[in-house]
Amino acid sequence: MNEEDLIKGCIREDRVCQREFYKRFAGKMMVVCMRYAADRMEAEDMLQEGFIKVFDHIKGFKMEGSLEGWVRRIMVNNAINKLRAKKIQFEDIDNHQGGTDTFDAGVLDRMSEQDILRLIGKMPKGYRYVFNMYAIEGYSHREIADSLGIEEASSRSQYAKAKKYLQDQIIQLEKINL
Amino acid sequence: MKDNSFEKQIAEKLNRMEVRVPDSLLDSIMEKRAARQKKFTGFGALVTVVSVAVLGLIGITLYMQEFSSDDNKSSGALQENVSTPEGGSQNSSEQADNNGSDNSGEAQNALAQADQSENAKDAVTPKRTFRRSGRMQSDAVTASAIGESASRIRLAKNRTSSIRTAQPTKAQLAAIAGFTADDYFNTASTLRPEIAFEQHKGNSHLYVYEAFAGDPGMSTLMLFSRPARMNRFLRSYTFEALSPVSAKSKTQSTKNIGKRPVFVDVLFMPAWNMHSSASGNEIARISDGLSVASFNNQFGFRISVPLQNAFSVFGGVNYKAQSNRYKGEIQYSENETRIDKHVSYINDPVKGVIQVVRYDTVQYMADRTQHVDHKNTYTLLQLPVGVSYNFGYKGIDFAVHGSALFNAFIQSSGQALHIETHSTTAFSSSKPFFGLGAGIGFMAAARLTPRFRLIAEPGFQYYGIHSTRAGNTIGEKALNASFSVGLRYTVF
Repeated sequence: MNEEDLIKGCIREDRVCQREFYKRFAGKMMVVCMRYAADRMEAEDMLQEGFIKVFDHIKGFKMEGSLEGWVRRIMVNNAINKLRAKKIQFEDIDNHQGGTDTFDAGVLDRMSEQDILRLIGKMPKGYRYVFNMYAIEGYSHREIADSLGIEEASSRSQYAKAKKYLQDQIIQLEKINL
Repeated sequence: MKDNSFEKQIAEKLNRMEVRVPDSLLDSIMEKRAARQKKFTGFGALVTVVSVAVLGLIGITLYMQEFSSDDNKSSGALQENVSTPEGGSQNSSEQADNNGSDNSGEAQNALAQADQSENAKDAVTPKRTFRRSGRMQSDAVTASAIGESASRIRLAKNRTSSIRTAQPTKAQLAAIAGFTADDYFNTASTLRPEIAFEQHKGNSHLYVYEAFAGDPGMSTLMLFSRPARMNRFLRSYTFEALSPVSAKSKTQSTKNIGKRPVFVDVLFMPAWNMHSSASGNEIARISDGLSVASFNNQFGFRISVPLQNAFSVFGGVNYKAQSNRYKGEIQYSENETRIDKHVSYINDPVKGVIQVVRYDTVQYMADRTQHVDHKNTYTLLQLPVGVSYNFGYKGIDFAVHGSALFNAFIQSSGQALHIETHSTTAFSSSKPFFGLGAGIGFMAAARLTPRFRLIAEPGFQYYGIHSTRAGNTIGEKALNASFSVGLRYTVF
């Protein structure tokens, strides 16, 4: 079933199309939610809420651009809205003063997606949210600051430290593997 | 590597990644959407549906009264015009109700405590617990697997205060069979070790274990509950024993932990009845020629329970008034005798005109007609048991049913046809007899409220009637073409 038929079926509330839509995107969107959630259950809650919004607003999708990108944006916005309801504490963890741009790409190539997701999950919340939004979703620091209610400078600082933290963890993991 | 390569690689890897998601989540999504949609107010929909059902019932009843025959007269021999005695019909109705119940999930939010006894014995005993909403919750590792020292770990009440730690021995840690420190960090809950409820006592299901620097090779366990969030962890830490999680994957339970609904249907089933004889004799042949279609009424309810995939089983009870109508004429011949009288005159020369009368006895075959117009009526309780295949299209639920019918005929009355005497005799019996049949149907259900659906269901039923046990001269078979309307109630 192509995307256009799938979307039209979902607009018609066709159960078969909705099931196909869910099967097509749930796996990837769950990863998005797991990057923001504290645990699997919270991720499932985010996924449910996100898909409800997707199905409610599917008729607003204008067949321009990627459907997956549209769904992903809804999931991310939903996750951010849920996080905004919680008061996020941004802590400064010592010894993580900023990441490097000359990180060996081969290290990341050798790492599995599960390992990367696990390491991101271990990050402190403030680091994790900023890192997700900037590095993966592509938000600007200005947008991150507006979303999370912090200063733009704090967003930059948190991101730099998050990047360094993650790189350190990756290097340690690499050493252990070797 | 240059700018943004690190971020790009991370993003590319994670955007490609997929994790397994249970299908039950989709059911939950649909239920929540349905609960938010308000197309009908519940009471208004109910009033509308009941009004339609009552009007339909009145209309069909009036139509049936107009259709029913009041003249069934018995035939007489040697008569040219024969009529059959009167017949009658019965109608009654029953309905059943049902109820449902909801599930609700609950969050867990309590302080974590772990007992550590001195002798590590058994390893982690995996135990799955489930929320009542059907989603899986992950538990932390049993404290007995962690260690056996008796010290308790408590959280400080003050959020910013310190977290006390326990000191398990190497042997205790080694007792954690098959798990490493990394396993507890696994974001996939199915791969994380579990902790029995009696250990975490309803606290957060996510336990994080830290390895402190200064004592390589030994892990110091820190347990903290959700309120003491990771951002309160003030110490720097290194992961000495960080090792990749093994690629072995514990199979995630594919058991459908989400509940699929049980349905209860209440149906009103007017049917167009066509019948035939089940016997092979001459009476049966003649009766088939006299069979005419008639309306039947039926009320009932059924319960539909989901099976795997799109299949469900159902069972129910129907109360049915079956009427088999016979109308027409039976042509037959029989011997007749007639005496013809001939009168003639003779002109006698002596006596004058003499009248001569001659009588001739003539035997001949006379054509006769027996008029038949009666109904055989049966009241039965019907137990359908069957299987449905369910699917949806354009927001409407559909199902294809196939069922076996177990019939108990509890009341019988009608006219038995006798061709040798060209007459009918009445029969009536309240002695029950039984029969089997089969039915198919195609159901469409449109949602009125989250719990109620309006059903329309055309279908066919075919079953035998052992009416000879009630005094009839032939057995009968019925083929009903029905169009059912009703309500479906969703039980969770």
